[in-house]
Amino acid sequence: MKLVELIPKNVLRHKTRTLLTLLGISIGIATILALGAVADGLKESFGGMIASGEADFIVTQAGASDMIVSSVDEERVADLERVDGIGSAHGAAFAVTRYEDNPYFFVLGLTREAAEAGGFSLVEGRQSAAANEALVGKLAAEATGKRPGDSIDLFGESFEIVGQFETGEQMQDSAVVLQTRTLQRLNDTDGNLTMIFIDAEDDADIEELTARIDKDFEGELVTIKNAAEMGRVDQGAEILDAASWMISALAILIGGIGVMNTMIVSVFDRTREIGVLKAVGWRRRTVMTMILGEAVLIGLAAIVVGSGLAMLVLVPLSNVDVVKSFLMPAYSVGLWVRAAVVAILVAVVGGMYPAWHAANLSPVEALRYE
Amino acid sequence: MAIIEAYDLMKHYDDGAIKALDGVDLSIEEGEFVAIIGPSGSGKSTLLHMLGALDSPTSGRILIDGVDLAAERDLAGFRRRTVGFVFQLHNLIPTLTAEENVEIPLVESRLKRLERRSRAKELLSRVGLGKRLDNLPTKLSGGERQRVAIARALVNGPRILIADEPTGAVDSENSVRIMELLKEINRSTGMTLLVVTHDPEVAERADRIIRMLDGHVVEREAAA
Repeated sequence: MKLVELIPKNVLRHKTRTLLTLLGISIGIATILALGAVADGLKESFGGMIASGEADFIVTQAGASDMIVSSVDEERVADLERVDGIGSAHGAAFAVTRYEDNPYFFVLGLTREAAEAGGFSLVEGRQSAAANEALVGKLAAEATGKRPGDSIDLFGESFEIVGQFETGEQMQDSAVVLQTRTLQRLNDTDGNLTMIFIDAEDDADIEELTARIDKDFEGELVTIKNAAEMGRVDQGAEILDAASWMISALAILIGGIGVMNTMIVSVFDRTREIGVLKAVGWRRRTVMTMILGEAVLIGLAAIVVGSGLAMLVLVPLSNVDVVKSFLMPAYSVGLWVRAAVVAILVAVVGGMYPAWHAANLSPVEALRYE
Repeated sequence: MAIIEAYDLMKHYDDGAIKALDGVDLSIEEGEFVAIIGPSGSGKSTLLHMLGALDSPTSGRILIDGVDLAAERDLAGFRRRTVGFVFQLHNLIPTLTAEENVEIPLVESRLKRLERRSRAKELLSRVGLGKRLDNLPTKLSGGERQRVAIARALVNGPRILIADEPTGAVDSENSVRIMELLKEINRSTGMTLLVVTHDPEVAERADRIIRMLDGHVVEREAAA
């Protein structure tokens, strides 16, 4: 019999008690994972615009609460092209409309050059050449059943689909692309764009360039180099991110109290037994390790159960059509590490006092305990 | 030579309002079987706890094998090496088998798994439970559980075995068996045996009886 064999046996002694504590922590862990994956997924769905194309970064409206409502004067495209270090700039407009039963159907307004800079490569058909022509993304084609040669009704007008593209990014591939002017007219946003794709000159220092643009257009424009920077404009992801952190803190607090409660009851139940362990020569450190080990084992189990619970929520969610178009939960290593750290912290925070109490029990008083 | 020596032991509670031990001197020879008797509250269990390094006296000195307990920094280690305890209630861990319970004190040791097993098996055979190794405490009778507890007390090879009312929770038949077992261990190994008891029949088996009253030793007699 070694300590590592004794710890799981002790944890399984009161199965219901252990299970309820485990469930409590697991729900916290699941929430952290689910919110975190959704927040990261949101950032990536827009961030993918940069990843998929030739653009080095994008420029959007500074202070916009969400990418969807970003509004940039299209004259800035020409202004930016004059900036030292920028090779080309292409504007893109973005709109959301109802399509049949999907209230969040994405429509992008792109010039041909912007489509290239954005990585919208055609897999079928041709580029649009007229105001009443449209391109359909791979996922949008699947969702609507519309293919090149079909027509599609958007904003109350009919468009002929002439080509299909694929970028490999969730959000773009769920969209229909119209000409920029057409979308601006339909969406009442004449003269305004949502974002500008920037292709820097080959020898440009991107860090320096983006810093310079941020400074020169301060208050009006903001640059975004990658998904992680999406928070500079996308408050939705930012809020989810903050919520995920706050829930982590709450999980530590609430889970910690739950673990502490369970472990205190467990230690009190076993007071006489702990007295015997001390009488037969167990050191304080060994008693402490045993109790903390029991708490940590529950924490480790919570990582597994919490991950399972998170998947139970996320997998069906990412299969809902409406959600599918703009969100694919992103499971980063960092997120799992965070959840695991929280689970272990919860266990240690909750197990510390009971373990200390058990380790410092006087053997005589412990043996007398009824 | 004396393995246990105590000089003017005092144990006071509540700032001296309760004097559990009030000046106890005694000396116990290595290999001796000593019974400590006396009414409830006479201080016999308190004395046993002091001698077993489970608790420290308010004043006075205890020498175990020449080592002053007041100067011993690692009391847990001292207990592990020197003393084995048997209590009135067996306090076995309910989810562990008899064999695993006997191995519990070895958690602190660096012995290999096989060595732990063989020690536990050997001791359980010695207390007559060689065929009950894999039984959980719930499958054992009260007397059998107490015998597992005795095997547990012996697993670290102590020089002193301390038993606090070892027969207090078993019937008279089992009581006799347990005392015979303890006495046999004392005889065959030369392990010093200290037993606190209410039961005159138990005390009669000892080499010597120490009678306590109100925190004092009132009588030392050689058993019949």
